[in-house]
Parts: sequence; structure tokens; C-alpha cells
Amino acid sequence: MKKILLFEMRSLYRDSMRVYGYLFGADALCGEEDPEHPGVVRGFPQGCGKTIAVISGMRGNEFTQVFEASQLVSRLSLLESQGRITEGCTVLVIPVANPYSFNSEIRFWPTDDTDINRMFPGYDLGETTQRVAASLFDVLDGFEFGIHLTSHYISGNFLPHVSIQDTGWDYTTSAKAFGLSYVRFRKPTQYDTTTLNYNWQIWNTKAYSIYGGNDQTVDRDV
Amino acid sequence: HASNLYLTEIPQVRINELFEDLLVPYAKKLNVDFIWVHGAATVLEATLAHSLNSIGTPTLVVEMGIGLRLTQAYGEQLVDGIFSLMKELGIWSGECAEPREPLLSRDPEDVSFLNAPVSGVFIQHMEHNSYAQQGQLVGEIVDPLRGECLCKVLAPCTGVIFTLRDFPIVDEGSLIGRMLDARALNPEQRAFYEARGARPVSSLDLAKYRKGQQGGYAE
Repeated sequence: MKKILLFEMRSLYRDSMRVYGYLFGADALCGEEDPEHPGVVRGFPQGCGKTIAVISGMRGNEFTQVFEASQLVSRLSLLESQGRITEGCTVLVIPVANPYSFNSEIRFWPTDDTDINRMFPGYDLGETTQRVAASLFDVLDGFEFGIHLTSHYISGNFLPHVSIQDTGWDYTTSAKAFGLSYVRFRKPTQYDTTTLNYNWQIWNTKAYSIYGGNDQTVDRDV
Repeated sequence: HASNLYLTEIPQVRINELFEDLLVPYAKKLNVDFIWVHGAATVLEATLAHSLNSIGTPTLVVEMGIGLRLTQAYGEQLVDGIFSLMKELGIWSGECAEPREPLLSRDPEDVSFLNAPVSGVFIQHMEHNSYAQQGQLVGEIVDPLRGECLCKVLAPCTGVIFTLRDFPIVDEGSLIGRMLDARALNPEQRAFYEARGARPVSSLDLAKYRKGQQGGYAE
């Protein structure tokens, strides 16, 4: 496993916001450690293969999703140590894509209440969350599969399920492999076209959004 | 509607370019300072105005002032404008004020965005609706703990600052202001704004207080 500092943004009152990823697989051996941060590679290694990316914690109240990602990092670490990750395949896990909101327990961006998941593919010269989305998408673009552990805009207790936006590319059969309650395949509304799921697909990544449980709690069963 | 909680706007009508021909003549009667015809962004298609315009009800979006605050002068200006428009439409036959001629932008290149290059506290040096020269100091972003200037915010073009940040806290990327390039102004408008110039923020008079010239705060 390589811990990667994917990008950072200087904060106003607190330490810089740093977004980390955990990279598994044979190609994870590439990349050099950052001398300022022992054990951490700065930036996603160029030329590294991109098989599956898992991202969570894009909103500050998605606790169960961050817990799921942490369990995944733990499980993958064990599997990698046992040599059980298929050669040539890589898995990138980003447990907390938005530590600024997560540390404040606020769903959206604390300063201006905007949602990073309505800013994709992002704009690196735009407003703050457009820049965060651009930095994330710079890393996430090019993966074969993308999994977004996320939550619905209306709060509630959700059965674990997979949601895929219908962009004209039907790979729903593959979503059954998650083994969840159901797969939702739906037409995107206008404002869905700025989500990660939609943009991943436009750039040829098979994207799966996973919902389940409540916001603001850790649901271990989910 | 108002702006958000952070930015203050001069009274303006924003028009999706898809409805430009239909709506600009109406907007000119509304007594606003600015008409901004902008590109068709995806998210705007989910708005009330876009939906009404799409089904044949001409709808103007007026943006002015700042959220959670009352800007009385703007309110009165727009009421005059609504009566002016109603007179044009034959709804009102009484007296009404002659609407002012608004600035008008149809070219996206006319509008420049000022985004914060660093996080910090934005201190404005220029009033909203100023006419700034390219390179002129609009404000500074300072470190909240040490007070040192992290970045000078300079006008990217010569023109009118029609949006300006009121809320001082900025993250990297936060919108600080928008400017309409002087080339979008007609000769009369340009003369008016050039005469007005850049209006300095009154809080800069603090320097006088510090020198004890007006009492209080003398060091």
C-alpha cells in the first residue's frame, strides 16, 4: 500500500486541507516518497495503472461511507500482504475527499455551503469547490471502474443499493456483483450532469454510486 | 432575487442567451443598472425562470443587493422599473419614472472574474460599483493571525465592479468580484463611470483616526 497525498489546499484558520488516497496493487510500487512527509507519496504516480477507484466523504456527514472506506483499506492491506491482488490491477481508495467539511461535521463546504458533487468535472481556476472537484477528477479520470460511496440529498434510512445514471451506456448487469438489495438505473436530471457518477461515465469509467444507511451516524451493518 | 450571503450586486437582469431577443427589450424597461446576457449553463435549466420562459411566459431574473440584508434604494429603483415595464405592456396607465439606460453585455469576454488566489481575510479598498483601472488595487487578502498581506487583488481590466464580496472570509477560489470591461459601455456610460472613478472605502479613514485628527483611537 502507498499512502498518497493527492492534493492540498491552504486553509484560513486551521492546517492545510490534505486529501489522501491509499493505493494497492503491483503498480502501487511506483512513485517516490515525499521527503517532507515520510511514508507518503506526493501526487498520484504518473503512468500508474488505474483499475478501480473508491471515493467517499465528499460530504461532511457521510460517516458510514468513510467507515466503509476505512474497512476497505484495512481489508485490502491484508490481501495485498498476502499477495492476493491480481497482478497489473490497482485499487485507489480515498476515504475522505472533503476533510474540511468532515472535520466540521457540515455536509457541504463550510464557507459557502456548496456541494462538491455538483461541481464535476471541476474548474481549476473557478470557485473553491470547483477547484476541489477539478483536483479530484484529475486523479479519478481514467479509471476503468469508479465507486462513489455517497448519500442521497434527502436524508433518510436507505437500504444499501447501487445507483447508476443512464447516460446511454448500460453496464447495470455488472452492478449485481455488489450483492446489494437492488440496482437503480435512472435518467439523470439536469443538475445530475455535474455529479461524479455522470462525469465518470462521460470520460469512459464505469461508475457506481453506493447508497445505504443514515447520514451523521456509523451504521456498522451497512 | 438577492445575491448569496457573500456578494453584493448592482441591480441587474440576467438573461439566458436562448431568450435574449425576447427578454432584452423587457429588461431595458426595468430601470436596472445592468443587463447580463450569459451562456446557457446546464444547472440553469432547472430554474423557475428557465422553465417559465420555455413554456412561453417571459420571465426576467433580477439579482441585486446581498442576501439577508435590505438595500432600500435598490428596492425602490426596481419598483419604479416594474411600473415602467407595466406601462410598456399596457397594464399600468398612470405615471412612472423614465427607466435608466442599463449597461448591457452580450459577449462573455466582457465579464472578468476575480477569484481569491489564497485563503484569508479580504479587505476591500474600493466601493462596490466603482470604475477601476486595470491593475488598480481592489483589495487585499491578509493573514488573519499576523495581519500581513498575502495577496493584493488587482483589477484585471478597466471597467465597472458590478459584483463585490462583502463577506470578508475567503478560501482559495472564493469569488471576490466580477467586472464588466469598459469596452461594453457606450460613450455616455463610459464618461459617467470615468467621472465617478474608483470610490475608496470609507474605512480607510481609520488612518486619520489613528493619527488622532478626529479624536479616538489615537496611539
